[in-house]
Amino acid sequence: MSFKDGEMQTISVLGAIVISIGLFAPVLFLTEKADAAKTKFDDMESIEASVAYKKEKQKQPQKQTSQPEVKKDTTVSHDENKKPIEGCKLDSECKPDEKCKEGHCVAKKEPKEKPVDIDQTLAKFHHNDDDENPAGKPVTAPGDFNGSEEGWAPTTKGNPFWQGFAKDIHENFSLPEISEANGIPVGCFHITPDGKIIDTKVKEKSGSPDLDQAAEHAIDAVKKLRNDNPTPVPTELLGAINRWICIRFDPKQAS
Amino acid sequence: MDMHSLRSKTSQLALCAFACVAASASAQPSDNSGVVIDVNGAKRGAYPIALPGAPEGDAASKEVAQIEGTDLTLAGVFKVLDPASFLADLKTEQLGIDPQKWKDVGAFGVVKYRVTGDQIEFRLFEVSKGNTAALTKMYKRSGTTTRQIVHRWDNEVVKYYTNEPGFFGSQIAFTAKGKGTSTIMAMDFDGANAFVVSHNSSTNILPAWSPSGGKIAYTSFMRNNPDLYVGATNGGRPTKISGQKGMNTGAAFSPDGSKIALTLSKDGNPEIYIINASDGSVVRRITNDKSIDTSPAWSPDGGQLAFVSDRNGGPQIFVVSSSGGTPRQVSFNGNYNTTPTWSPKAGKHVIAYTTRDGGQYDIVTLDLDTKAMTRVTQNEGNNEEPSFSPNGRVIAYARQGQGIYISNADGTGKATKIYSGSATGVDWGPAPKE
Repeated sequence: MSFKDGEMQTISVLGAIVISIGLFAPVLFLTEKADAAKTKFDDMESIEASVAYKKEKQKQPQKQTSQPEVKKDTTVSHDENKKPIEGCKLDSECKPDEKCKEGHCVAKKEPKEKPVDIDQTLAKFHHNDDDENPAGKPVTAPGDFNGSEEGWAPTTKGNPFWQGFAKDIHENFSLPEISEANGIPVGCFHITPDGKIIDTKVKEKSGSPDLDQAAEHAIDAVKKLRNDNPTPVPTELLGAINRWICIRFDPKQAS
Repeated sequence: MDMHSLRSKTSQLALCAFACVAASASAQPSDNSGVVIDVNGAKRGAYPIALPGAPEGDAASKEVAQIEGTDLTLAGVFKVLDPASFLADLKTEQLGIDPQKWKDVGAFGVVKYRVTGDQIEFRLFEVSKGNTAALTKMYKRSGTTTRQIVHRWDNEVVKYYTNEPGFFGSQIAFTAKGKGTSTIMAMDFDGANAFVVSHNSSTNILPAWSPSGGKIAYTSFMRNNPDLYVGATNGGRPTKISGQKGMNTGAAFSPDGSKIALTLSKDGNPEIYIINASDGSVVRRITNDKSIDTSPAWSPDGGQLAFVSDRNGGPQIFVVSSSGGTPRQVSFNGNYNTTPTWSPKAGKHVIAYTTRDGGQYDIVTLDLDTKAMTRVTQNEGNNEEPSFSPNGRVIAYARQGQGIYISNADGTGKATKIYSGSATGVDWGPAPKE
């Protein structure tokens, strides 16, 4: 059995459509299902920029500790053999190795400053061999000095630019105690390379009007703050600011 | 089919399949990926509320503004914003608001009002909900003072936000110390309209309001022995309720007003008793210990009494059933805790008391269920004898040698002075009648 070219073409097209449907229908079905399961932000890059804030000082219970009073010794010396300090007005009234200071003869020699032992200072960074710090194990706990004279270990967690941004947001994110706080509003910023904010938008409302207002207030405040004192975006983040930088305003403390 | 035509068919098929793939790919939603930063934990604080004065600016409007400012500042809920920061044109707005103008100054709530010859109209706006008033009330001015009207409105505002009654219009009793005398006085919660309750030149101490608010019980030495009297707040001669030999002190009315808990030392040692409020007859003896037991305070449901006892050493707070039984110690901080009082908040078991800490006296609260303590005062002189507002939001107390202050019961905010002068024995009266 042979087909003419026209017939062959028709069969080919029909066959291709059938194969395509057979191939891609399950793919499309699964993709749609997966999309539905995904949250709106799963396709966004999440930046680790949580703010390290101090836990507020607990006011109570707190006993005030009273340090023992330091009393100035105004009494007479009990050392009977000790000679009384002689009074003076001029250095010449004192011994050769003394000088007159505030009405009394005192030793001329000033205590010498101890020279800095550079070897001892650097010793804390010295390792006999690499086995002291096995690979894969952190050498410092968070908050410990990490050996860098420039900074502290936590500053290396996340990008400092985003950390600073998150800190500014957090400092301006205030919600009244009596206000409802359900949901998480999302606000976004358009940041320019010089660090200015040229546009903002509320991407999603929470459904709690006061919470949305608190988020809007924080957005406006940070826009003003950053435009008044812009922090240029680091080179490595320039790719990221081509898109909206979005903030999820979760009123609850991270657990 | 020759090899050439087969190759041709195959390439056509592949082309078609590619076209289908390309078509399905272009049907995907557009890429909106970007950076997302999580900011957790909003700072929680007082509710910023704006109280712009009426644009008319007449004396009555100014009086409303002044009373409302004091009320809402003392409420323990709000942060009253500085009018100097307001951006809105009040003359244009009149009784409405331009929400954005108020958002820009950080206001969450705005109260507007208009005083006319025979009425005052109030409106409350929630800025986040737009320019429709969330609450509107009109009050007739005849037969009532502007002060009373504003208090009623402010109680509505507090109730709107917290679902609790406000305390504006309630009164506070206290002992005013003079040279050689101590006088029982009462005043509005904000220090206005102070008046004398005990009209004798003797020593009068430890006032306690009746739950209805019409009477105040207090101990007077007018006949040398510290006897218990009950006087009407609107004047008249006080009635001696308990004149047992020795102490008749530290009275506290039961929540239903039928009984009084107090300290009697008729048998030699100060013990806690419950007597009938009508005739002073003893209902039951609550404590029986060789130590000194004083300062009883009823729980809001009347089921328990807190009191002070030195049975375990220094004075500490104990709680006992109001039908008697074995008391249990509840205060363990430091070695000196006195003058307990219960929070009236329903469902809570919280007491406030005076504690000595580092040589100073301060007010603390203690949740009897969670054992959580909150410090109400610190490094602000010697503060004693706390008393909760009728809704439990704030606490009034005496600051030695300075006067009477009000602070938020949760320890936040600043203390506000409501009475200047030497005062002790602070007792906050019941909620105002509607």
